[in-house]
Amino acid sequence: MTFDVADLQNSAPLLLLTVAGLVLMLLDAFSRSKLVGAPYQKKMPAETSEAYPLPVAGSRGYLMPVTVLLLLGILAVVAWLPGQIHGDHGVFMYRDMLVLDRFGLLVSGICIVGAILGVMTAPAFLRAHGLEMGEYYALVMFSLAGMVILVMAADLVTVFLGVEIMSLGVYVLAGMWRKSQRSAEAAMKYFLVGAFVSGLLLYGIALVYGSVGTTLLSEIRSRAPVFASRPLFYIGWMLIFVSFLFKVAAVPFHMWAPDTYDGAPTPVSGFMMTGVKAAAFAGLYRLFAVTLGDSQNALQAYTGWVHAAYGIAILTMTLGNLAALHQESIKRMLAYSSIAHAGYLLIGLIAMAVVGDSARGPLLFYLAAYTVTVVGAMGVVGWLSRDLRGGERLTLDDWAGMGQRHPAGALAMTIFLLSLGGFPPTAGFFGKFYLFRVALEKPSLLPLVLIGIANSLISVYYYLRVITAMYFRAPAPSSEPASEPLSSTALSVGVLIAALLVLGLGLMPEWLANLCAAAN
Amino acid sequence: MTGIASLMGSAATGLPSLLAQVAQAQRIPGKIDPVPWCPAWAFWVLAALTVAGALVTITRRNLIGAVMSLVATFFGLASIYALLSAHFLAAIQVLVYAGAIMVLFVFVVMVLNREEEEPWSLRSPVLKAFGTGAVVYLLVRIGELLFFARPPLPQRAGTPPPNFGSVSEIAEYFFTKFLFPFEAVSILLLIAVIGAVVLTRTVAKPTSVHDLPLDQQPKDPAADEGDSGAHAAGHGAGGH
Repeated sequence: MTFDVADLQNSAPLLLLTVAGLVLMLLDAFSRSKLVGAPYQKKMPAETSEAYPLPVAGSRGYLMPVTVLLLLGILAVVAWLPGQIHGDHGVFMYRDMLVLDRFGLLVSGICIVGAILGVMTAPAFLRAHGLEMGEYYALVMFSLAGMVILVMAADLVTVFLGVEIMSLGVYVLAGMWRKSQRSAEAAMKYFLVGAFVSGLLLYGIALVYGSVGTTLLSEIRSRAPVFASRPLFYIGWMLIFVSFLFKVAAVPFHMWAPDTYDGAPTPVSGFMMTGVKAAAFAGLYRLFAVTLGDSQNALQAYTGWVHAAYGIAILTMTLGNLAALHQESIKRMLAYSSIAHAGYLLIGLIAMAVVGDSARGPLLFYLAAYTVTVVGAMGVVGWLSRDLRGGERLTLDDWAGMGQRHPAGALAMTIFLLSLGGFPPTAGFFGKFYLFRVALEKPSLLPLVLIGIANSLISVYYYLRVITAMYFRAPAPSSEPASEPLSSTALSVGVLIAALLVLGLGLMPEWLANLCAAAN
Repeated sequence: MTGIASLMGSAATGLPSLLAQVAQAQRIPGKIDPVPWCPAWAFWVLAALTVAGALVTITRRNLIGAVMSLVATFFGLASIYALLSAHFLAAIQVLVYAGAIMVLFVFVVMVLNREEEEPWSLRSPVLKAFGTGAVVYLLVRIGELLFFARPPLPQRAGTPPPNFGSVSEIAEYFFTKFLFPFEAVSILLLIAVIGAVVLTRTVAKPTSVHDLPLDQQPKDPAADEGDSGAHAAGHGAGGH
């Protein structure tokens, strides 16, 4: 036997995600193609009519509940697996290619929860914009499988494969809005930058392998002190570091992010901002905080990634927030705010290296809080900004008076924006609180924390700007028809769950914080 | 499709003879020099060929010229693989990259037949100077690391095992140590197939001004509202 049979059980989330993707493909293939407003249709309704007939649910309407049920089942497996881990070091699978540990399972769980909420908010949006196709669900599943491979990776080969599988699905999802020029631009930019980044990552892996002679992370960790003085080792790790910074959209490797997040279909943007970012941060954690994170600091001093990350965290927070300040489009503002949040998360990564393992919990808590919040916010953006003429109404002027026109959506958006800004009764507050508190344990991180706090204050301005527009501004006198919010039960329920999670984590953060702290 | 079919054909006819050569080229165990028939400077010649091909590739304005010099790079790389006793990899490099992928490249270049344009060029001299400076800095830092840090050079790892680089050896790795990555790649390929279908399926025409190309969208919302004829004209232009 070339692998242990127990590996099949231990890698069940990954296998089940893949199988679920295949099942969804089959269901899609055997569904009747009688969709209205879907790409299968040859002609759109008459374009001259002011508002063309609302597309109705097609025969693929059941794919979303099926997807959600499958994901819930996989989430249950993820929740059950920690009981199978005996000891502190995790279980290695498939000849040390993957490792099953609580950290990997928790990040997988975060990605899956984000995907469940995203999938619930997606179909109404997709249908309204003529995008309803079964491949969406399958690609989300396969992308998730890539994320799980990445967060469980114990070898540079699997790290690379995870990154590629995750990204390839998302490139397609970003470009699936075929009628929108911006979606094509989003996918093209993401794909070209992503292809370049894959080259950097592979080059870095080759150099590390060339200098150390192994791709196993645990062996690299044990051999690193001897090999750290090799220039190839250093250059290789820097290339790997840069490629991951591209994936999390950290400044100065962020130039693709605003256009991509802004142009992609809104539920896909939510998936990219949360799942991809969470998995990429898990990869950064495994590669840098664990493999190169040496408490002696000799290794870090030589590879220098902590110093690089320090500067990049400051740049990312500051430039992301400053650019978000004067965005008129809410979706684009959220895109820049996502860049800024990558900066806060980098503080957690640095704290992992400098402070130690106690920073792991805050980092994970922040990831969870951020994921739930952003998925919810993007759900609301897709919900409220639907334009009957086919596009999206995303400017602040369009959203003026939303508090009267659509109180429920506006209230949910307010909760998410407050959470992103870090206001007390929400998950975002505790995310920032735990993160900054653990970073303050080392005086060398004090400047970083001060800059982070200053940036949070800056960010409050543009989050509150949306809230004031929704509640305290009359709609601009315009002869254009206002946006027409989607009406969908699944979407409302998805946003409601996200909002409840954000508030719940803000009121009772201990259980998740304890779970995160225990996720070694 | 034709390219793939021709590749299949060449693989079917060429592979047995290649495999025979691979088998013949397997070294006698105990010899220190990995490639006895090859002088040490051969590496430098092949490396120069590879780098020169790559440089020509990124500097040609003529796309076909660029693609053809990429072939030279691929052949140089394949020869270096052969020098490293990785004969199977060398054969695959020639078959897949210099064969199939280059055929696809040439097809795409000929089918698209695009005008020369530089969409993302750095126009401002300040940016150009900045970019040049950054590249020079990077090269200096890497050179500094490589030449002045004077690392302890790794000792020659010794003679590779007799079967090193052979098809059976690689197959064994694929089905034992690297079984998981080997299988996981299939998810990647599946996504690629699905993605190709999703992204190339025919779609309906744009239905709103927001879907038009950016330069065709009305600048002023009021103007767009006032003239409903502009919609129809915009749709016609954006529809193809």
